[in-house]
Amino acid sequence: MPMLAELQQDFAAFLRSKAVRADGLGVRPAGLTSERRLSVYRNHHRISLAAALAANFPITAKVVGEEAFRALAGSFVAIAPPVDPCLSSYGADFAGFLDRDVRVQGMRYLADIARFDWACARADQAADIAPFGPQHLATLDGDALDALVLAAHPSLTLLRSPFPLLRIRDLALGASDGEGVSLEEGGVQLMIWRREGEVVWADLDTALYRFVETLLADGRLGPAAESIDPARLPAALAGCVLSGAFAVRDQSR
Amino acid sequence: MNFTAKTGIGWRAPHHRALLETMPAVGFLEVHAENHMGGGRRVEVLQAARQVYPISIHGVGLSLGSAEPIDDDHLDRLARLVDEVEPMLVSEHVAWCRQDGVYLNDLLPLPYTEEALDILVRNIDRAQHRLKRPILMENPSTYLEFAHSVIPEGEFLAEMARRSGCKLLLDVNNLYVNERNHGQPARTAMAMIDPDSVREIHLAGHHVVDLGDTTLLIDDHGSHVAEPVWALYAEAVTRFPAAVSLIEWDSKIPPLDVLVAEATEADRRRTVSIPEKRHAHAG
Repeated sequence: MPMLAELQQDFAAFLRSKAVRADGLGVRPAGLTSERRLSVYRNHHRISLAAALAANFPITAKVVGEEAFRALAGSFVAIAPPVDPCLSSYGADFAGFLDRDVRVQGMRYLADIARFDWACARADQAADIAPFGPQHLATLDGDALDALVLAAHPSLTLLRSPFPLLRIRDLALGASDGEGVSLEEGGVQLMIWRREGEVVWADLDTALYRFVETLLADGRLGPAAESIDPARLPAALAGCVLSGAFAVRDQSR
Repeated sequence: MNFTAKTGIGWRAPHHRALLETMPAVGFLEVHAENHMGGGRRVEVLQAARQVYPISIHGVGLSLGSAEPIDDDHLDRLARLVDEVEPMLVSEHVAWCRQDGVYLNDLLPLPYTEEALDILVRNIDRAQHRLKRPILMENPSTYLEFAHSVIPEGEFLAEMARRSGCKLLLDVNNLYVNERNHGQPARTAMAMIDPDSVREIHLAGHHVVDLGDTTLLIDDHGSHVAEPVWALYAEAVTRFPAAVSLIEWDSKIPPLDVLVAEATEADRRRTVSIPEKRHAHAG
């Protein structure tokens, strides 16, 4: 009779590897063999974790197809199983895994699609702190403006990719006209965040992307403003800073 | 309206908006704890629901049946959620789901032994101490039995409640699934349980898998409550009058009106069952 600690260790090993046999778990074989009874749990483990990963990476799953995604998920679960029961946070390393997996080396863009999925999932779930908005700006005089330090809203991710991620996304979701996407047609420089409860993104040109990067690095509006053509500053402020993607740094702690 | 006298439903993402807009007359909402931990937008939406309905928090991740120590960080997160939401009930499972720090994403079966009972009671005690309240423990559906299980399920549940001071969340669908899968009569299990210890009853659909030489019932929460489960429910509401009821429907989630109709059906069956039984006892 196995003690509980030993039983749970062996049971978990059985769930996690097809190479492990059911002998020794002491399962009563009534009607079905112990192997088949245990397989109900092993199948659920495999299918449910692949589904959890697919929920966090919906476009990646669409791009590779259901069957291929399940195979990739199975390998990922084997090497990086979840340690947190909150599965909405599972898959932080999935994009890196795709970078290395030989089965998808022909889909060089796939890992960046996974990064886009992950950024959208983070944006959806991030803490709901008040963003910095026009109403804040209106109350600031010159000194207060100089002292102002901004930080990324918890929902914000910047993502630069050499691949046309948004076009690939549209094609995968059936939202484009079905024409193929050329990987040579140019990459994206995205900011992805949550605005008024909805996950949104903007594909920025190089000047705007640098403006946002500078603001993220420093937190002060001055250096960011100096990084961009003055004629474009109003658009940069309206589109990037006052659109819900930033928060006052003290509030974000 | 006395909300908690009526059957509750699960708080599931596809229904959030419709629930808040139409506010159907269901008794309460049951929230999966692990979907709402760590703050964020989901908790904000939940706070809106909380203004309208009582909330029950249902955890799947504490792994109270584990021989390895329970995860204190996870327990702390649950405690913070309980502080934020102030639920009417907090429940977990007679199961384990974690080993060597890995989350296995299932409610895995325990052998019904004195050792497992001791471990479970110790872990429940720890959780109740941290949460500063008694919790409800739900009987699981299982697809296997361990040869060294020596305590009948009903006795195991009753003894767990007696020793730990926890209350029970009796899932009558799970009792029925286990009866069909293992031949243990559900009514025998119910008869072993102290009537006052059951504070919630779960109802759900299950899936029958034909394996050629035998069938296996899978508790998938993906369909209407089956008639034999309704029959068990009629007896359960009579035996356990302190329990509120809840419809679980977590896969193939139907439109909200279908779910609300199922909850209304549970209300109707409860109303029909209780007077009949009382009458029978009086006679």
